[in-house]
Amino acid sequence: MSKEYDMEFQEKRSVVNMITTTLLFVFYYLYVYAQYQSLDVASGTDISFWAKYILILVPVMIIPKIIIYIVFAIINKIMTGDKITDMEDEMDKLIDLKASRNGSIAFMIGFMLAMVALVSGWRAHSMFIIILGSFMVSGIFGEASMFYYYRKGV
Amino acid sequence: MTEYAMNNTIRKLRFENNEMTQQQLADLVKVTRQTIVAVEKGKYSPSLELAFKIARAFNVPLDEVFSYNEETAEK
Repeated sequence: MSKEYDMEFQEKRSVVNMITTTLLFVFYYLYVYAQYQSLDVASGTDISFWAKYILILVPVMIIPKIIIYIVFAIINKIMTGDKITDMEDEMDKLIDLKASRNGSIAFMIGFMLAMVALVSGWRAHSMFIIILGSFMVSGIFGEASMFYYYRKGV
Repeated sequence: MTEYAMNNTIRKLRFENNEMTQQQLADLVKVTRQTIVAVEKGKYSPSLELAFKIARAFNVPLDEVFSYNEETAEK
């Protein structure tokens, strides 16, 4: 049956998450940067500005992702007829752990780069931009790892 | 380089059990179909618990489902 060569639900979910993460970050970053342009940097509020937008990033990432996941699961159910399941078995847990590890490593590298930027005398907002970028890269890297492990095995 | 490989006869056993589908086996052992696909293709070595559950689903001993091969391969 050709189904064996199709993308499985988990693989499709990883691809959807990668696209969602990228789009959300790009739009969020553009929005934040536009806000930053109108900020009076001399007032010394730019650190609290970036800290605030990094905190806001959490719900901004979580809520749309949940909505997109539900829509994706329903569309997948209509297209393939596969039942919607949130079951997580031992292989899912192992893949999730390995993907999280890879994502964490990517974030740590980004965090270290942000520290290097500070030590090198770059402005504080560079550090926050690098940290924001690290969130995006680590999210994408984690999902890409998940896709890889589902496809190639673990 | 030494390569270790787990072989399995799940495909054959499914065929012999009224062409049981991967989804039916997955439901029996309470994992996702994706996991059965991965085990069958040798992409994932199941836990001992899952291995026993799969053997029990076919009503055969464990070593009739899984075998362990040590192969040496030049790379």
